[in-house]
This record gives sequence, structure tokens and C-alpha cells, in this order.
Amino acid sequence: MEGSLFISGKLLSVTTFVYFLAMFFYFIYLVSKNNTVGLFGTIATLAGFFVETGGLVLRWVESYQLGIGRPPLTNLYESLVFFSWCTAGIYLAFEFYYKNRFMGAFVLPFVSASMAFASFSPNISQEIQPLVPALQSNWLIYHVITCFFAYAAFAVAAGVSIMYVIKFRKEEKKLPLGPILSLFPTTPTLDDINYKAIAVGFPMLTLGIITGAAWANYAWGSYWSWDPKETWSLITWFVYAAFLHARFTRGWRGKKAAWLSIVGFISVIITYLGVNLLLSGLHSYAS
Amino acid sequence: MTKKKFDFFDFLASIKLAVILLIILAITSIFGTVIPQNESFDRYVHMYGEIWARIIATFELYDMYHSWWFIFLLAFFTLNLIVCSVKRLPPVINQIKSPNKILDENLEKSLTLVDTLKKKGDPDSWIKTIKDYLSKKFGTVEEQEIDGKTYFYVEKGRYSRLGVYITHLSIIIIMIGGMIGAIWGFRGFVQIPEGEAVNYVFIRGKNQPHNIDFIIKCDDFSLSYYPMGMVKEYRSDVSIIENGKVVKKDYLIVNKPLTYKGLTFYQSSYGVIDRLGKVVAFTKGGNSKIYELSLSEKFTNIPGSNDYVRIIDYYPNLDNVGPAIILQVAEEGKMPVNLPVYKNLPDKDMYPEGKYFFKFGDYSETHYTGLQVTKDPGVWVVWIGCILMMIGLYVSFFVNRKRVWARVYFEGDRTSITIAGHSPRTRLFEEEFAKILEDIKELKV
Repeated sequence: MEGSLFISGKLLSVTTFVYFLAMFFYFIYLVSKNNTVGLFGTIATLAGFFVETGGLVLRWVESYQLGIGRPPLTNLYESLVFFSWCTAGIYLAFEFYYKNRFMGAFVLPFVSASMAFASFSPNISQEIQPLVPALQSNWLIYHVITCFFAYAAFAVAAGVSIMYVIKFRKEEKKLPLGPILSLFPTTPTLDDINYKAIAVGFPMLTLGIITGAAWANYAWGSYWSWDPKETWSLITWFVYAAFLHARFTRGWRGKKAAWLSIVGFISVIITYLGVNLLLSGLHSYAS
Repeated sequence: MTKKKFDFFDFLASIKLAVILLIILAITSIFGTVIPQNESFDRYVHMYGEIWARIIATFELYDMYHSWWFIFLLAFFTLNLIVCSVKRLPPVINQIKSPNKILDENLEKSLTLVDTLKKKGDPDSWIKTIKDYLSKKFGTVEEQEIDGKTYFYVEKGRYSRLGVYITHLSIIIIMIGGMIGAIWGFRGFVQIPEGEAVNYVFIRGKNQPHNIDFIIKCDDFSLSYYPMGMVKEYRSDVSIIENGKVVKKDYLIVNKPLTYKGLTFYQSSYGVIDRLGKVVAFTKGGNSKIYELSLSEKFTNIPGSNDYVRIIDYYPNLDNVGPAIILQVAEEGKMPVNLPVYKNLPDKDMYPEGKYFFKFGDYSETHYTGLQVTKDPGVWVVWIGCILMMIGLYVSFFVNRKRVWARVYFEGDRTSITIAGHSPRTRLFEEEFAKILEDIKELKV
């Protein structure tokens, strides 16, 4: 209601549009290999990232103007925006580091989908609401930032793993790669990016679970209750732990590891959205 | 016979088993998030039918994270983790303590990043130049001379391989902390009416009170609201009493617990014991009579009539017009009617067809506070485990082990310089190693 009248709401709508634009540039780049189009993709992602940063900061400021004063990380709408922000940021870092824009077509869909879901779903309120007592804690910031940083890193890893699986399938059968696949990074490089993203995501997820446990202990007197969200975060942790160990096991490297990364990200989505939308527990408290 | 035993140990120590157990743990953990936990057998029959309810009962899926088979799985996983670490740790420590510092032929063959340069100039100047270069780049350089050949060795991130074992140890410490809590701790709750005191709590799952060493008194419970009517804070003001004396006065809100003598109290719920309100009632029509009524949740008679009224609820901000009492009015011969009485709309008649017109006077509630009470002597062990886990993960993912060897000697009319390097992060290190080679190629004496 009121939220969308604020400038932050406008900026975040622009962000959604710009990310979609970036995604289409990356798609066209993937098919055409036109470097100018690829550059547009990068510019659009960067622009989206900056506008979104402004939107998040303004939303924080606006909450103070409403006399509420809380970080923009406290409901589904804000968390989706924050997820897209983290993923775009980590994606940009990987793009600059590896100097390869093909990942864009596989990662930007996660970024724009999460913004689209936040903006267009009728069930998601964009209002700036005050915090219920359970969420009034500094742990909120540490917990949410660490978790979402991890989710974003896992999104990048999953995007790269999808590329790996597609390219590896052709290489395995010794089929011609075609003009697009041959421009993908090599499978060992994709495997390497996948590992690096998870090497960042896994410690962050661990820290996210630990800060969550510390907060739960502080607020409710129990650091672990097997509540569905906690359990799903642990399931995600098990999957990525399996991934990390699979790399040291013969027969589990490469393709299986890529699949584990994809399964891991499905588990992330269930942890993040599935539990709140489908199951009940402590984390549905906030809504 | 001995061979079979040996195989079993290898199986227990294998990383493959760890991968499989992690996947099994991930899959089985899903059950408890889909099947509601700790419900009664009848409830499961109602939800899933008789057969599934029996399956749930047999496999203890009603409390699956404490079921025999899940505990067994966790224990087996822990055993795998311990055996795996114990088997691999000694060689790693050995390598850390006494790494292979001499670049001999065998070592050279085992490394992929190796290159040999033939340079003009006397070996002594080259030895000094190479040493200066390496120490500028990596710090301390170890030097040895054997059979006229000079060997250099530098190492960075020596302890990075210990990260994995620190992480594994931390998991065991966290599990020990969890067990300490399960054995010597408890979770309970207590409800204390405002102004009253208790010296017991109820332990979850049991119904008799458990005495505690002190008395906790609820002096006051209060709610505060945001302007739009959402609850901002639940607050209990409490006193701790020992030997008849108040030893501590403090307050509890959600996210601010109170710990005393190993017990921690958390604000978790509240309830209304009674509502007290003052309302003015006017009879409608000419010759209006005025009654000042003190109401509660019990029906109060309106004097001189057979009509009754009571308070059933209260909202701090109803329909965005501020506080309102919800009254239930039972006029003689009519069905009881519920109606709001707004503080800020004194002239609005919410019961046009009734005999009376009500005006808001005053409102207050008496509450009880609901506190969660826990004792967990293992929680510090868990936090130490968590900190150790973060250290372990940091060391394994962000400390990079790099080793560089060099061998310098005079051969024919040239100085032969062999450089070799190794790092588990080969891809990253390859570039760095190429740069080292390039630098050395350009060095002159």
C-alpha cells in the first residue's frame, strides 16, 4: 500500500526491469556471440546492481521516516530483493575474475526471477512493516546477511553446474560442441568456478546456521529445535558437505559433483521459499 | 581373516562412505519436515490412515530426529568421521613437520610444475640472486648444500591441510555439547500471574512441577504497541527472591532473556486473567438514565433491569481509530450481541437497535506471563565447537598452501637452475608459478 509510493519502491521496480534487460542481453550474447551485446549485459547488470543498492538503502532510510527504523531484511519481499542483490554482486565478481560473460545467461535468470517474484506475486506485501518482537535483535542482520550471501554463491554455482552438465554431456559422447558450447569455459574451468563459489558459500552457510542457532538460543532458549527451516538448512549443509568430499573421491568428481551442486541449490530454494510457503514452524512467525 | 578385518577398517575410513552417509542423512532428514512431529497416534491415523500411522509408529517417525535409527545413522557418521581423520592425520602432521625440502630426481618427477634454465654466470652469484628473489617473494628461505648442489625450499600456508581436521573435531565437540545438554539440561515453562511468585517450573513432557532453588516473582506484565496497533514489545518485570530477600530485579522481553543460577528465563507467551473496564451506559429515548458500570469478563447486571453486559475483548487500535473495548450485551429476551465501543468515537452508537448507548471510560487488564525456562550446561561447549568450525573452514578454504623448490649447481659451462612448485589449488598457482619462472628468466648476475 504505502510502500510502493516511496522512492525505494520505484527504484526497485526499475531494478526488476533492468535485470530482465540484462538477462535478455546475455541470452542474445549467448546465441550471437556479439561482444557489444555482451557488454550491454554487463552494463545492465551493473546498473541494476547500483539502482538496487540505492533502493535497499533508501528503504532502510524510509523505515526511519515511518518511525519504525529497521534494516530492509525482514520479510519475504525484502529477502527476495536482497537475494537478487547478493547474487548479482557475486555474479559480477566472478564475471570480472574469469572474464567470461557466458555465465550471465545462466545466473541472471535467478536474479530476475527473484525480483519478478518479489514485485509481481500478489501474496507478497511490499509494505514497510514494523518488526514483531521476535525479530527485534541485532542477530537478525548477521543471520540474514550470512545466509543470503551463501544462497547467492550457491546460485552462481548452480548456474555454472548447469553449463557443466550441458557441455559435459556432449564432450562425453564426443559430439561436436557447436558454436555456443565451444565458447563456454572449458569443463575443468566450470568445475573450478563451481568449487570456488561453493568454497565461499559453504562457510557462509555454516556461519548463517551458527548465527541462527545463537539467535534462537538467545530468543527462545534453544539453539536447535529441528524446526523445518533449521532442518532444511542442515539438509542443504549435508548436500554441500557431500559435494566437498565428493571431490576427493574417485568416480564422484565432475558430473556427479555438478549434479550435487544443482541438487544443493534445489535444497536452498526449499529452505528459503518452500519452508515458508508450504510448511509451518518458527520461521513463519514473521508473517 | 585378517584381510577381511582390514577391508572393513578401510571402508570405515573412506571418504566415499562419508559422501554416501551425508546423502543418506540429507534424504532421511526430509521426513521429519514433511510429517508433523510429536503428534498422537490417532492424529496420524486421521491424517494418513492406519497403515501409514503404524509405519510412522514403528520407525518412530513421530519424533524422527530422536529415533533409534536416526541416532544410529548419526553415530555411524561420527564413527566414519573419527576413523577417517585418525587414519589421515598422522601422515599430514608428518608432512607438516618434516616436508620434503630437497628437490631430488624422485620429487622432480612427481611434480608437474617444473622447469630448468641454463644460465651464464658463476653459481655462487646465482645462488645469492635466487635466494634474494625467493626471500623477497615468500619470506624465509631454507637452504641446504649437498654434493655441490644448493637446494632452496619455501613454503606458505603450511597449516592449511589441518583445516579439515579442525572442522571434523569441531563437529564432534558440537555433538558432545548437544549430549551434555540432553543429559544434564532440561526445557520447561512456567506461567506466573502478575503480582505472584513461584519456586517451581514445569518440565516439558512431564506434568509435575520441578522445584528450583529460588523464587521468581512477576511484578508486572505489559504490552506496548506500534502506532498502527501491532505489538511492539512483551515485557515482564520480575524479581528473584532468595531467603525472603529480593536479590535481583530485572525485566524480560523477547530477545532479552534473564539468567540466574544456571537457569535462563525467556519471554514466550502471556495471557489475560481478567479485563476490567469502566463504561458509561445511557438508556436511549427521553428521560435518559445514566449508569457508570465497572465491567469484567463476567456478566454484570445493569441496575434496575434484567440486562447484562461483559467485556470479551480489547483492541489497542481497532479499524484504525484507536482503542476499543468489545462488549457483549445480553438484553432480556434477546440473543447476546457483540459490539465495539471506541474511545475516539464517543458519539457513535454501535448498537442502534439496542436499549443502551455505551461510552468508553477506562480499561485495564491483569495478565499472567508465560516464561520458557531452560537449563543447558552444554551450550558453551556447542559455541566453542562452532567457533572452532569457523576457524577450521577458514583455514581449509582460504589458507592456500604453496611450496617452491629450487636447485642450483654448475654444469659444463653454465649454471643449471631448476625451479619447481606445488599447490593443491593448481589452477590458481599455475599463473603465479609462470610469473616466477618469467622473473627468473629475466634475472641477471
